[in-house]
Amino acid sequence: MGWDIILLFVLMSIGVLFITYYASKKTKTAGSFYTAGGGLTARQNGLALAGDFMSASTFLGLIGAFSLTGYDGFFLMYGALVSFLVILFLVAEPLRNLGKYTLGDMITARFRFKQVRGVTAFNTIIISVFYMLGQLVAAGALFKLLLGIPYNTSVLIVGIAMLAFVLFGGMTATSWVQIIKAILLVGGTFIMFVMVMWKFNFNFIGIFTDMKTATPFGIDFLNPGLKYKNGWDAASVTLGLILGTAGLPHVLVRFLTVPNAQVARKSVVWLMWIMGLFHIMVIFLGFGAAKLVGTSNIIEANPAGNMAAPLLAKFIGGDFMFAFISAVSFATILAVVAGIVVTGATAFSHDIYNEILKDGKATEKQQMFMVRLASIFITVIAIALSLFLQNFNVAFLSSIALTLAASSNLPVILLTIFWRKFNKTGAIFGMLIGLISTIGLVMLSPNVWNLEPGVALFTGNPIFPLASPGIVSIPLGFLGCYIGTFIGARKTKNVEDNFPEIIVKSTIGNDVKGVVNH
Amino acid sequence: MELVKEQSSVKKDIEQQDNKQIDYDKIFASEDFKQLLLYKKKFIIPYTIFYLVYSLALPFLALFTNILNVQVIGDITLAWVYGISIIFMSFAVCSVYVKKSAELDEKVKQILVKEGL
Repeated sequence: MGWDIILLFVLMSIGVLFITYYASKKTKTAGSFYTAGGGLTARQNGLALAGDFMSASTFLGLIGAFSLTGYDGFFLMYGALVSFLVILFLVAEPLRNLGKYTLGDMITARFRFKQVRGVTAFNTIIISVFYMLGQLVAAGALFKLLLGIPYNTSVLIVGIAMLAFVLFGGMTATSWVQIIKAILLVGGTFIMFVMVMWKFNFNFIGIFTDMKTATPFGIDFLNPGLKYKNGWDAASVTLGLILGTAGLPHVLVRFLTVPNAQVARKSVVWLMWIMGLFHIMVIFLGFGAAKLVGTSNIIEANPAGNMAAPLLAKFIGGDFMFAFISAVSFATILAVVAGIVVTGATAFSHDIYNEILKDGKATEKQQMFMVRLASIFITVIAIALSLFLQNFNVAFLSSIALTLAASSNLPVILLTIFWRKFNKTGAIFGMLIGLISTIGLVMLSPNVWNLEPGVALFTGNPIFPLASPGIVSIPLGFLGCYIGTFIGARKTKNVEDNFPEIIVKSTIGNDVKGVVNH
Repeated sequence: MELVKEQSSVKKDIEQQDNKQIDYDKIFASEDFKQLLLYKKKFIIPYTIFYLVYSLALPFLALFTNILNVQVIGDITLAWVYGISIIFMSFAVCSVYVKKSAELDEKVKQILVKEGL
C-alpha cells in the first residue's frame, strides 16, 4: 500500500504510545492501574465507555452486516444500545456503590467466600478471552487487506502491539486511549456518512429505493429474513446482546473509574447519545458499501463482510480516507483489546493472586508483576484461538462473548443486589451453569457443525439448531442460581445475613458524605 | 498526583464512616428506606418491562409475521421504522431515568440527614 497509509499509521501509533507513556508515569499504584484512580468525569467516562463498546466488531462488523445481509444487520446492532438501559436501570449505580476494583469485589461484598471470588474471576477471564477473539479476527482481516500480509502474521503483530500497550500503561492509559479513539471513530464515521449521503444526494427515502436494485438479493435486501431464516435465532442473538453488556466485565469496571453514582449515571447518558447516533449512521454506511463497493467485492476481501467499511472509505475518499479509516480501526482494536486484557489480568492478579492466594497481603510490586504475567498469558491464548476464526463476522463473534456474559455474570449480579434469599451456592452454580451451557451449546451449534465438509470445524448435523445460544443459556443461568440457592439454603442457615447492608449501601452509596455534599 | 491524593482522602472518609459503624439493619428497617425502595421499584420495574418487551418484540414480529412489511414512506417499510425507533425509545427512557433518579437523590439525602450521617 502507498506511503500515505504507512505515514498515517506511524503518526497515529506515535500519538497513542505517547499517551500511554504519559499515563504510565501517573500509574504508580496497583489501584490506579486497575481503575484510573477513580477520577474521570461523566463526559470522559461516557466517551471511554463508548470507546470500549464501539469496538472493531461494532464498526467493521455492523457495517459489514448491513451491507451483506440488509435488514438483518439490525439484530446484531440494537440490542447493545438497549443493554445500556439495563445497565442504567439495574446495574450501574449499585455496582459503583459496592465495588472497588473488580466484579469479584462486588459479588464478594455480599458473599465473603474465596470460592465465589475465584469463580467470578475465572468467569471474567473466560469472557475476556472470548471477547478478544472478535477484535483479533478483525485485526487480522484489516492487516491482510492493508498491507497484503497473511492473516496469521497480522494477528500476531496486533497481539504483540497491544501487549506493549497494556504493560506500559494499564487502565489510565486505556481510558485515555478509549476517549481519543471514540472521538476519532465517531468523527471518521460522520465524515464517511456525509460523503456517502452526498453520493445519494442526501435523499434518505430515495436510498431505500436504490437499495432494491443495488444488490443481488433484490427487494429481499430490505426485508427481514435474509440471514435469519429462523426467528428464534434472531431473537436469541438479540436477547444475548440486550442482557450481555450488563454482564461484560470490561464495561462494568468502567463504572469504578468515576467518583460516584451520579457521575456513573451521567456517563451512561453520554454513551447512549454517542452510540445511538453512531448506530443510525452505520445503517447508511452499510447501504453505501453495498451499493458503491458492491456485494462481490466486499465478499472477496473478507467472506463475512468485515472489510466493507475500509473498502467504502477507499471508494468515496480515495487512498487517504482508506488510510485514515484503517488507522482508526486499528487504534480501535488496539485500545479495546488492551482494555479487555487489563480487565482479565486484573481479575487474576487482584482476585486470584492477591485475595485468594495471598489473603490480600501481596505487595504492590508483586501484584504489578502478576498483572503483567497474566496479560501475556491471556493474549497468547486469544491469539492462538483466533487463528481458526477468519471467516466469522466479527459482530457475530462478539455476540457470543456477550451471550456468555449474559448467561453467567448477569444473573448473579442482579440476584446479588436484589434477592434476599440468594446465597453463595446459588452464585457459584449460576455462574458455572451459565458458562458451561453457553460454551457447550456453541460447541453443538451450526457454527461448529455443518453437513457440508469444510464449512465449519466439524462435518455433521448440529445437535443444537441455533447459532446463538442466548435464548436457552440465559434462562439456564438464572435457573442455576435458583437451584443452587435451594441446595445451599440448609448449609448457609447459620451464616450471617448481610443483605440489609448490601441493599442499603447499593441504594444510598458507599461514600455517604459525597451524596450529602453533592 | 492530585487525583491519587484526592482518592486517598475519599478512602479515609469511607474508613472513618466504617469506624463509626453505620447501622445498616436500622436503616434497612426504617420506614423512610422502605418507602425509598418501594418508590424505586415502582418506576424501575414497569420501565424495564417496557423497554425489554419493546425491543425483544422486533425479531418475532419481523420474522414470524408479515405485519412489518408495510411501506410507510416511499420504500421504507414499517420494519425499518420500528428498528430505528428502538434507538429513539432508548433516548427517551434514558432521560426519564435521569429525571427520576434526581428525585431519588433528594430522598436519599433526607434519609442520610435523618440518620445523622
